[in-house]
Amino acid sequence: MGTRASRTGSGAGPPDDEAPADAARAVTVLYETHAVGLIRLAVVMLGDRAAAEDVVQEAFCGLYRRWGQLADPGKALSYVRAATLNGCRSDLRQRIRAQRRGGPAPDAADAASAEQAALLGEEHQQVLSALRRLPDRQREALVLRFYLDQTEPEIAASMGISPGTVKSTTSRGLAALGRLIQEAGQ
Amino acid sequence: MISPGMSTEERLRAATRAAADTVPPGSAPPLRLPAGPEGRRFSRARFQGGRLRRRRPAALTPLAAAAAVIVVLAVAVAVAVAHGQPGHRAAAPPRHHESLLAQLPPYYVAQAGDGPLGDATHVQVRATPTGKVLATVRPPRPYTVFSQVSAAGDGHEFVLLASRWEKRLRSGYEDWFTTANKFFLLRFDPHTHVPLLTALPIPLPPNVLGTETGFALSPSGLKLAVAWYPSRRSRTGAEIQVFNLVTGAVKTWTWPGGRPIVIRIPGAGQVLSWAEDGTLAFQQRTESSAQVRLLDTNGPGGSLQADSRLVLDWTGTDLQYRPNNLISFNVLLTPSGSRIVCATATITKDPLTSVMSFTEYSTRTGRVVRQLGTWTLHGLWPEGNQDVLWTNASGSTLIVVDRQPGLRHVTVSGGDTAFWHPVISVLTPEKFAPIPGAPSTRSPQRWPAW
Repeated sequence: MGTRASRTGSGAGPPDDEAPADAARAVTVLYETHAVGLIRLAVVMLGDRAAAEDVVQEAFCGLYRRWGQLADPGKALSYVRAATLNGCRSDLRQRIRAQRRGGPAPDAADAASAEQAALLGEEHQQVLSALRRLPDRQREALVLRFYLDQTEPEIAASMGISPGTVKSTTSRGLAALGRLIQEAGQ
Repeated sequence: MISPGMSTEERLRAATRAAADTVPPGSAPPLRLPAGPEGRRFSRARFQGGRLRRRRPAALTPLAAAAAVIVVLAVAVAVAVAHGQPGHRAAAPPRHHESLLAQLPPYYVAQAGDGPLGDATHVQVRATPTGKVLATVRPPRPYTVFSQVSAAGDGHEFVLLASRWEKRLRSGYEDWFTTANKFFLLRFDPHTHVPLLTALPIPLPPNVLGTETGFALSPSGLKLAVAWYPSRRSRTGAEIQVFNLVTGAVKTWTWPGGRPIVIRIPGAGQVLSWAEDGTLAFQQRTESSAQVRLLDTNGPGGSLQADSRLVLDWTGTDLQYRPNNLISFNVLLTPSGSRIVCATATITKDPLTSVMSFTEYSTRTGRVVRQLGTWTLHGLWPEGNQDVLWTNASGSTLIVVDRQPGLRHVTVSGGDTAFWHPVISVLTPEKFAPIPGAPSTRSPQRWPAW
């Protein structure tokens, strides 16, 4: 093992994109720093811890596979967050498809994690259940705005839509969410 | 619970926060990467812990949860000793590190398992040179987690704070509360490898984690210092109590209106640190300042302000660009009492660089007397990646959380903050050696205790 003197000035730069070992390290460091935050985001979207972990794991594996193609490694977090949202969207769609084929109902998807439900109050569960019934775009806009506290331009960049569309989508989503919560309470 | 008067926005914020809070810090499973960036696409199921993961049908979940409770009850023994646990492989230290590792306390306590708020459900006594788990200790009933740990520094005696968490309603919201707390002294017998857990007769309030901001076991293992904020006696300012674990005597120092003895989160980092002569170092931090003072605990107790003296002071404007700015959670007093050790960074702009060091200050003059492990990174230093966990009597050998030199794994994000994979290591002026098998975590509440 080298002495401490050898540390100064060495190895402080970003990882070498061409070296798989360095890509693995960079992705691992990013995972260790941001995995919990992204799992939380996916839990909010899906209501199921196991599914959330799967989605985040897959997002980081996707980042690792594409590491060499990243134009700017500094945007890796944005990439992996977008991949997590995509993964959540796919997961929710799969649940709806399964329900149409006679599987458990989408609402029962919340019950897929009874442990999760048990940790939340009934009314929180009601709000989250209503959130998951919204169209993809509205749901994502609301989560980015009210859970991640992102600004409209940030949401626009994350979702690949214009700031104007973010505003109208958020507004419509909030109104729809209010209606769904009210219906559920009746 | 949500109040009926809340808007949809407020309901959404509260519900998403509550859902997010069900994922405790540090609870992410390990990342499993495919064999190479060009490797074939793996299915999700393959990746969970390297084995096929199946979702339970929803209808079976309550049964599974009940079964889990039964299993937990069946195995919930106060102290379980696991000699050479199956599945745990001890790492062999490289030969040229053996003499270095032999200078450290022989055993340490690592927190393990995830309680409701990320606390440890049990602790492990591990061998320093190999990381081998020698014993597992679980909190005795009715306690469910170990919230904090402090070590005497000799590798044999530790104090654990055990707590029982319960979910209750507060202001219309469900939240977790501690309903019982107890200090336990853990003695580890190096010959039999049997840990002995003894309850300490120190009264603690049910909400101890809101006001108890840190504790430290003296090097002799005979005294326990506990910091409170706000003071339990004056209701404002800070308080330190020193309990004699043999006689039960207690001394109290209060500072009405004094700054908090806390590093943002109660229990995060070591806010108290002992010297062998009974001097106690304590940190007082606010958003924009940090001070270290020394208290002579040989006196009868009284005014914390009058009986202590200021040694180190990081206050003022433009603080982060001053040389050797404090960045560590822990600030340790050497057992000899002559030095204070902490991690520092000197930041320069254009280009943004941080010079990282472990800096030792004279307790007599407050001046820098030695710096170890200095290295330079491009960007801002990240929190929780560089700290000091233990020091020998003179400060010449440290156990640190740090970057392993020579590995090119420091990255700088879009926000100019660097990240690296911290390792727990032994550091001397000449050597840096990772401690084999030491658990690695960025959470200062889960760092092992030596």
